[in-house]
Amino acid sequence: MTDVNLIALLFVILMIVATVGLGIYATGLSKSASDFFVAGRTVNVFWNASAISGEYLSAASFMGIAGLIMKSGYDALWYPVGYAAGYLFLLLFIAGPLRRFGAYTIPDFAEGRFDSPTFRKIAVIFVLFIGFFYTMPQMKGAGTTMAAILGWPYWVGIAVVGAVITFNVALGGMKGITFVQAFQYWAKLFAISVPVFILCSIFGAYNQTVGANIETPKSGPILTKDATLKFRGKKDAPLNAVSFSPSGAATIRFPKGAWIAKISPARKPSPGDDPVPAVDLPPAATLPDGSHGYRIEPNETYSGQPFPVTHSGQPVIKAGKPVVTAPKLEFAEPTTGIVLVGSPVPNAPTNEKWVTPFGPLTSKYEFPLLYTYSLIVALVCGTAGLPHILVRFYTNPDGRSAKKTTLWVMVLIGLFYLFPAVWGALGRAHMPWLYGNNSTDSIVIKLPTGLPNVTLGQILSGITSAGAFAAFMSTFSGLLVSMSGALAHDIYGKMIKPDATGAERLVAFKLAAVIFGIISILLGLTIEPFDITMLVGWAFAIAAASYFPLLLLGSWWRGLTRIGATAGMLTGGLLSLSAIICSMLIDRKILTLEVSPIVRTLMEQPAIWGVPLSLITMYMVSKATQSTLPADVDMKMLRLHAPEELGLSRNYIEH
Amino acid sequence: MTQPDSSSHQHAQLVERMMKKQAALGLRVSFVFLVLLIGLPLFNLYCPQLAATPVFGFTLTWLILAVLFFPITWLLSIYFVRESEKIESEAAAFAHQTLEPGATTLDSSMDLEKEVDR
Repeated sequence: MTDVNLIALLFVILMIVATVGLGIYATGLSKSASDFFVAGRTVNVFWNASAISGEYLSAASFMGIAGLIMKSGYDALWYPVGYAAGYLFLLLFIAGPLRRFGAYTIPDFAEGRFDSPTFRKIAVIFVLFIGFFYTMPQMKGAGTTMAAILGWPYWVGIAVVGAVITFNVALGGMKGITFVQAFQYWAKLFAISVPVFILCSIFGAYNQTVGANIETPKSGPILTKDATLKFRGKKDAPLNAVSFSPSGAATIRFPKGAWIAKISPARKPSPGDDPVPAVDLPPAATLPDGSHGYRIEPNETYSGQPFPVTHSGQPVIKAGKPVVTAPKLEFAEPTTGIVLVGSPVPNAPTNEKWVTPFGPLTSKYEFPLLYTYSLIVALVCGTAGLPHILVRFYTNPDGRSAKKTTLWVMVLIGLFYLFPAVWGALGRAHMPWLYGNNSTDSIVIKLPTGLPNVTLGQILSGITSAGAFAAFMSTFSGLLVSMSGALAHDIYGKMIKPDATGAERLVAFKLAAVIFGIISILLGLTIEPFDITMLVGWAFAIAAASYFPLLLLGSWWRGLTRIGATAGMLTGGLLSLSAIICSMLIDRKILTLEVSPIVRTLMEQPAIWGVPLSLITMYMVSKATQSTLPADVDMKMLRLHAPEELGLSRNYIEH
Repeated sequence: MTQPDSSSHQHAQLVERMMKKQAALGLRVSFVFLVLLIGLPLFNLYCPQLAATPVFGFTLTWLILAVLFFPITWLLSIYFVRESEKIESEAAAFAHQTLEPGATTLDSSMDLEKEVDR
């Protein structure tokens, strides 16, 4: 796995060169300050839609979804669906009014709609918050891809991607990235679709691969050759856990031995269930850190045997059959193990669990329906509230083309999202050992290398690596532009030096881009142990409970007051954020907190209460503070909704 | 701030009518869509047999969520954009017929730039 894939490296370099080259070329076309910020507002619908899609399809979309579908099956299909569905809501309720209002950033909207500079400050803080949360998973994706395909250290990938993008954004501004991002959408679509057609023609069709899971519901993927897995230690919890499959015995040989902190039944035990039978335990020992655990000596093997679940000695029966589970090991120290050929792959859900709804992802805490709905709410509302996506609507000449653009975006991202599921299904069937490593995230990069034809595999893997790079780069540049824009335009241009000239703002923008680029690289270095999807989830949940209610009510309800909007945003946004951070700390075993499964579900997926809470707070507080409504609120509503022909729209920024 | 004159008042009423129509359209489309989003998990929960029916090699519910869902959103958005443009053109045509000089009076009376550029 450490051998360098030179072909992949070449493709990645080509992608970086094309990105920078296009950025430089586009700079020649970008002249005035307004060009720099909003691409002169004249980008045509199709290219703008390509650019929005290019910006939206991040590392999470390109690698994370395929990996999650491979890992969790059906339930993870809600991710691409939620991302696409969020866009529909954006189209239905937000795209047109927002563009018509003529503001350039969300803070502009916040201030313009409520005449409140204070509110602008709060909105800016949220832009930066969501922005940083969303850049972290991009950085993590860059670091791990480079580590996986080229054997680079984690930090090198981050430094390379971070530096290239920062340079590009500071050089070209938004006009630059409109071209770059439109190009990158098509590069990503090519990279996720073309290799998959070739893979399907060799490995077997998508529908057959999915269908194979229905035929043998109780079994799971089985290793066709020995697989060497790297296991993590306690400090990377929960990634240090390995669950054996209940479908059959699996044997792992540990060349270097292993320290095991805990062995428990893989099926989530209900109170009163008996522990793992003593015959399935290795010798007890004192771990290097002094606590109790188990020791497997070098070159010894451990066999994970399925066993019936018992409750105070009585077998547990479900639907007339005894329930079977298998041991789950939690390693104390990192080690390597060789899973022997013929073993069912550890950590892989059974075929039935994978292909049917309410599988391992949503049933984690026994409330699968609640989990599913809350996930849907987060994805749908979060999309509609992502600041770096919304900012692009101002590059449309008018509200009408904003709607048309969104329509095109629906088509483009929908097309893209047909493919990650194919990767997930093929990955499960043909590269199942990634389950054991908890590294299903890299399936898009690794799967092609499993082809019998090595060169073809390397070429295809090179294409997907370049696509993955396009994904981190485009999303990161979008975020960098909206964060730097917020700083240059909102903080510098509005608060620090209101009479700044265009040239001064431009300098501020470039400076901000470099500063935020450096901060993002540094943040990226610190988050290696966290999951890509977990980090993206933070950004979505915060956006869903803060910006989405603001934009929805702000565009459609004249009675929304500044105090109401602020209260709702802060309550919903901050409470959701704290719930997610608590949940994450519990997962990583930093925080120990006994909560009921329903509360645990609501902490991990807070959108189902966060969004309504924010909306209700906005409503109630606004009702109580109606006297603070601006005198010209009707005029503002008019500007949000009047068609351009009436001549009421005014651009917020005059050049 | 000056009082809006009568023609801007008419404008406001026109836009308000239009806004209601737009909101109704948005709600109509999102209703179809919400039925799908809320309904599919319920369908999976209460009709697991039917959801697992093999269709083209997939299960029915896999086919819906992973494949058919996207074209459905395309159709809904095409419908929405078309209807929404219709509402806007009607409103604009109506305004041009009846309230022609209104636009300019309104703009100057409201002093927009001062409001937002503080």
